[in-house]
Amino acid sequence: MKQFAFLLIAACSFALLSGCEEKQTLPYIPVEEPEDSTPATGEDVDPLTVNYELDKVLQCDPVNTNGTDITDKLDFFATPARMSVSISPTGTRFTFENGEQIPFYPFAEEFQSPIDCELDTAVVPNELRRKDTGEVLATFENDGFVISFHLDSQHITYKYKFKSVN
Amino acid sequence: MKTINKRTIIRTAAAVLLMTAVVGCLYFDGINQPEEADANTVIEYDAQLRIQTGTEGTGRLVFAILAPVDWDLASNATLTLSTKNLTAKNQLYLDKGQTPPHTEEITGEVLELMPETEKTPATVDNNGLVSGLPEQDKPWAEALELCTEVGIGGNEGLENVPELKWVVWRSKTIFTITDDPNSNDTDKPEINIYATVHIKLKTGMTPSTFYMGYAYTYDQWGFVTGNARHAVEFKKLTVNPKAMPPIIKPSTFRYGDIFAVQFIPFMTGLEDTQDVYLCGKVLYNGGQIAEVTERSDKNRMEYISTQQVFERYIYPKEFFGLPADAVIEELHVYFTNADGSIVVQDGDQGFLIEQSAE
Repeated sequence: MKQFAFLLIAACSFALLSGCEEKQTLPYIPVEEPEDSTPATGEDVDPLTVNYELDKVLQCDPVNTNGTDITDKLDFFATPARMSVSISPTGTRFTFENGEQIPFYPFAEEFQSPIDCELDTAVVPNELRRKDTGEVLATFENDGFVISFHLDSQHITYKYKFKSVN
Repeated sequence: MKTINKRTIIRTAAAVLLMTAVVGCLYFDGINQPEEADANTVIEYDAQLRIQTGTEGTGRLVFAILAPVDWDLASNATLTLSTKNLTAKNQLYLDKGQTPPHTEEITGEVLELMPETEKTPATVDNNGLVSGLPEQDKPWAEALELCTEVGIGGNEGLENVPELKWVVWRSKTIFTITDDPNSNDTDKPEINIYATVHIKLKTGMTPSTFYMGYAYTYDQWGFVTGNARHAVEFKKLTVNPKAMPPIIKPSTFRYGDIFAVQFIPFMTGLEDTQDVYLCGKVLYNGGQIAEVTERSDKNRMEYISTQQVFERYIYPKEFFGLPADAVIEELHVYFTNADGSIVVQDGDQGFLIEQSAE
């Protein structure tokens, strides 16, 4: 939670103090070092975007709550799902791209464009929520984002664990 | 010199016929044992017995089955006896002022195992005492093997026959079968007594082909060579290997989930096979059918050596090539080798995979 709070502060600092040459240290989202030709105050700035790729697919059930890694058990996970989080002075945006061969979608509706969202650091694990509906899109657990979903049985939870690819 | 005239010939022939009738008095009318059965499976069937009028004898019914030793039929079989026509002669007794030996039919009497201490009679009277035969005064199971008219039937000389043994049961009821007041009255129609022995037994684990043996007599007589107050029949049986049903992981799942199908090859035709493939069929959207019958990398199963099982994870809609919104109603799977020559399944449909309620 502290990490996310720090992230937000860092992101805001980046936006507000873009002329500052002090190096920002972010714990899990790599940040490109600001170029010297930073825009003047009031101009638009490029958002900070971190890209993630599916690392593991866990299948959790009441008997096996820690989950079984089924990533290599099904060929269609070879085309991994991707997600990204972009942070700019105007807000946070989430994008999701399903793997080309994955025959199901982890959300109730397909996202055609970036989704405005916000990071709730007041809960553990931190939750990335849609701004309009409050739906939890992902959580930040341990060292990465996790998208949890059900397919058919409510007793089985699938977890996409993402790793940063920036 | 005594002249053999026509009358003598007729009398002699009649006597021979009568003796034949007395000797050949117990019959199997049929045993509807299946010709094939799965290993380690309970099967049930009936043996139809017919006891011909004119047979004289009193005693408990003795019924025996020849089966592989490892089936342990003494523990894994239940035999029940029911009769028909047992009371059909009662009026004949009553007409003569005699008390009928049986006033009601036997229904569902459970036969008991013959005590191991019981032996076949040492002597029987078949128009003259018969004794000293190898099968006389012997434990019943041993006597069955020693009786040359019983033995082990067609199993003699057959290859790969499992070790067999006779297991013997007897009735609690003591039957008086033949005390027919009209047995010598040729004008009276013959009245047979019928019985059904319902056999319920569990086959063993080992696949094999052999002849099951069935024999019956009554305990005051025994299985005596040359004096056929017994009936015997052998019926071929092929015991097929039976696979354990597949294991599904996680155990709670629905057809719309990802799950693993695990196949245990032990004691199946695929036991020594390296490449095993998961095939199957689904019913979906109101009875439409989709099948996977080919053998490719898509359905090749992974061998998990630590568990000695083959495993394949599937997402059924993707595995069977169904549309994303398909609703699967039933799912069957079976297992086969690379060329499809060996198939392990449960019945014609394969193993039914049943989903959880929620």
